[in-house]
Amino acid sequence: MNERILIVEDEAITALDLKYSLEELGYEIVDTVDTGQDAIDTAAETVPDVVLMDIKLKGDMEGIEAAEVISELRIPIIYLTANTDTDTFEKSNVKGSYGFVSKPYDINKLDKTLKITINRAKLEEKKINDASGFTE
Amino acid sequence: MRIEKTYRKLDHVEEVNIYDIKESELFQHVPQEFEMPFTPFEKTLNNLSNDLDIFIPYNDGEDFIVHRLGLSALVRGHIKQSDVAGRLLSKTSPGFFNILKEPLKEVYETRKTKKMRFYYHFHEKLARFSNVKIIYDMDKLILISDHRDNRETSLHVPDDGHGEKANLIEYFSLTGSYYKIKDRYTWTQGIYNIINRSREENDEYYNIIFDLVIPEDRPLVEKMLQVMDQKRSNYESVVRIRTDDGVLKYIEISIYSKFDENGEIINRYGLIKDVSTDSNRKMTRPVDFLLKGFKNSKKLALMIEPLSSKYHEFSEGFYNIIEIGPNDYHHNRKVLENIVEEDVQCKLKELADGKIDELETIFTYNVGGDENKQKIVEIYIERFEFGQTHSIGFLTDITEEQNKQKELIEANEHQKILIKEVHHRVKNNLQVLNSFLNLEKRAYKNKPNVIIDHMQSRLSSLAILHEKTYNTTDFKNINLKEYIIDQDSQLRSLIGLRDGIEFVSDVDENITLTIEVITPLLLVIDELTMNAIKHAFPDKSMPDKKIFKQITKLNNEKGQLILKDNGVGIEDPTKITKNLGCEIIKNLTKQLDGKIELIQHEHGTGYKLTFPLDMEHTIEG
Repeated sequence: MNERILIVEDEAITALDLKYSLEELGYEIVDTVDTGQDAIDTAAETVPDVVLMDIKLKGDMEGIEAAEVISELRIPIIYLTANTDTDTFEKSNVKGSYGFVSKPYDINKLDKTLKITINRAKLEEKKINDASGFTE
Repeated sequence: MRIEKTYRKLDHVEEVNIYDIKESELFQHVPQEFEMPFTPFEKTLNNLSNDLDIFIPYNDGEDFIVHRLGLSALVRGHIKQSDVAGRLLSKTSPGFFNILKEPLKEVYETRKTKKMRFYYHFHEKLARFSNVKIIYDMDKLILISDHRDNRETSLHVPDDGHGEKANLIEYFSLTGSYYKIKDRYTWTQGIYNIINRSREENDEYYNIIFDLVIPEDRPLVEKMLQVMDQKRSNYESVVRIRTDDGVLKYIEISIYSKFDENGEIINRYGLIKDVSTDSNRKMTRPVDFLLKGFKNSKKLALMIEPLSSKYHEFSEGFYNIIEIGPNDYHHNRKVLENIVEEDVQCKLKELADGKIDELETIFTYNVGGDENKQKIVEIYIERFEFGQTHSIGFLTDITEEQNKQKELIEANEHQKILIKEVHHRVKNNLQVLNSFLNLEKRAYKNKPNVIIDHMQSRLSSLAILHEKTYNTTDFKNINLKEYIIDQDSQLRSLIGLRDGIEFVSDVDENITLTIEVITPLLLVIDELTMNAIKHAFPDKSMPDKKIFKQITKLNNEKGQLILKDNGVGIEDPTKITKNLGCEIIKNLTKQLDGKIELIQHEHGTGYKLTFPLDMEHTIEG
C-alpha cells in the first residue's frame, strides 16, 4: 500500500508541483489544502501517514497551530517552509513534529525525510500498541 | 621652639601647635650633597593653589633629602629651590625637621596617607595655620599643604566624603551649622554665605554670628545662652545681624546641646538659617542662583535639603514634574502615593527613615493620582550625615525620551519582522519558480524553448514584485496599475515585439491589493496571456494581434479581470481542462479565492476572473 500524504500548502504552484512529484515517487496524495482548519478537518477524516505542513498559511491559523491539533491524532508532521530562522524552528519543534525541510526543497531529501518519518512513526506506534497489549 | 600635639577626633586629624619657632630654625644655608632629578611640570607645580613639598627618605627614614619645596615655603625663607634641593632636611631646616620627622617617618613606614593641621603661634598668638596631607608615592613622600596667605583658604574642610558633599551644598546655601566643642567653633561654609565674608584664621575662637547681632537683639541672645546653660537641649530664635559690609539680615538660630551625667555640656551645635528672604526683604542668596538655573527647566529638578526637611529647597522643575504648585505642596508622603511602583515607594520611605543612603531609579508617576496621566521620572537622591541629615537629589522627567526609545524599539522590531518577511517571500518565490520549472519539465519534455518562454515571463512578473516592493514597507496597499504597466512592458519586450502582438490594459487606478493577492493575480494574468499567445494566433502573419485586459473594482470587496484576445477563438472548450496552463490557472484561482469563467465572443477568446480585494493571511510563521 502506498504511503498516504496530506499536503498543507498555500502556494498553489508549489502544492501542484509537490503533488505531481510525490505521486511520481509512489506516494498517494490524500488531499491538498491551504488553510489550518482544512488541514485539521482533512487529517481527521483521511488519517494520512504524514502531513506535509507549510508554516505560513492562508487564513488566520498558522501551520504550527494546526500541527499541534493534528499531532493529537498521532499523525506525524513534517514542516516544509521558507521560514528557516531559529525562532520559527524552535516554535515548530513541538510534539508530533518529525522533520523540518527548507524551501526551495530538494525532492530527494524530502523523499528520504518522508520515509524516515513514516518508519519512525510506525515503530513508535508499535511500541505504544505493544505496551497497551493491543495487536492487529 | 615648643611643639604640642593633640588629636582632633571630629575631623580625624592630628593637630600640632608650634610655639615660638625662630627664623634661623626654618632655613640654614648648607652645601648641596645630593644630585636631584629634574622635576617635571615644575612651573605648573608652583602655580598650584596648594603647596607641594617632595622628600626622599634617607637612612631608612631617619632623615629626608629635600627634593623640592612649595613656593610659599621658599617665599617665607627668601630662598630659591636651588638653595634647598639635594640637602638633608635636618641640616637645611632643623625647625621643619623637628616638626615633620615623626609624621614623615610614620608615612614612610606605614605607606598610609596622614592628615595633619599645623598651628604656628608667635608670642602665644595664633599667627598662621595649615592643613597638611602626607602621601607616600613611588619611594617619595609628598606633602601637600594649603598654607597660602589667602583669605579664602578653607580652614575647616574635613576631607571625608560627607564633609565635601556638605560643603558642596552649603557653597550655594544660606543655611549653615556650627559645632562648639571645648570652647572652639567649627563653622560650615553656609555660615560664611550668610555673613557675607570669607573664612578668617581666628574664626574658631569666636561666635562669629552672635558677635554680629545688632544691639537691639542682643538681649535675645543673652536669654538664649542663659536658657541653654540650664540643661535645656534645644532652643530656637530669630535675631537680626548686621554683616561687616553693613547688610541687615534676619537669622533663625536653633541651638542644640548635649549634657553629660553631671549636667556639664559635652558639646553644642547650632543651625543657622538666613530667613531674610522669607521675611520678604530684598536679598540675594547664592542658593537662589543655583535654583534659578533650574527655573526654566520643566523636566529637571534640583532638590536640596541642607539641614532638615523643614528647610527643603526644590527648584521650579520639581513642581512642574509633580504638577502640584509650591503653595499646594506639603512636604508629606501624598506625592509618594502617586508613584506606581511599590518598591520605589518603599525605597523612598527607607531613605527618609535613614535605612538606605542613596537611591537611583526610574518610576512611573500618576499626575494627581490619575492612572491615565502618567509620567516616567528618573530620581537620583543621596542622603548623608553631617551633624544633621542632609540630602541632595535630582528629578528628571524622562517621559518623552522613554516614549521615543519605545518607538525606536518598536520600529526596530518592525524592521526585523519586515526583513524576515522579505526573506521569506524571496525563498517562497524561488520555490514557486522551482515548482513551475518542475511542472513545465513534465509537460514539455521535448520543447525547451517553450519552457524558457514561460519561465522568462513568470520570472519577470515575480521580479517586478520584488523590485516594486523593495523600497516599500507596506505590503498591504500595493497599487495594481503600476504593476500591470510594468508587466505589459516586460511582455512587450519579451514576446510582443517578436510575435507582433500589442498589449492593451485598462486598470482602475484606485485598486490597491495586498501582496498575498497581487502575487497569484499577476501569475494568473501571466498564464492567461501566455495561453492567448500560444493558442489565439496560430497564423503569425495575422494583422492587429491584440491582447486586452481590463481590471475594475466590482465593489469594496471584489475586483474583476477581463482578459481577451482578438485571435481565432476556441472550438472545443472541454479540451482546455487537459492543458497544464489551465491547471495552473485553476490552482492559482483557488489560491486567490477567486472564480474564473470562459467568455466566448465574436473574435477570439476571453476569461473573466473575479477575485477578493483583500485576503487574510498569517504574517509570520
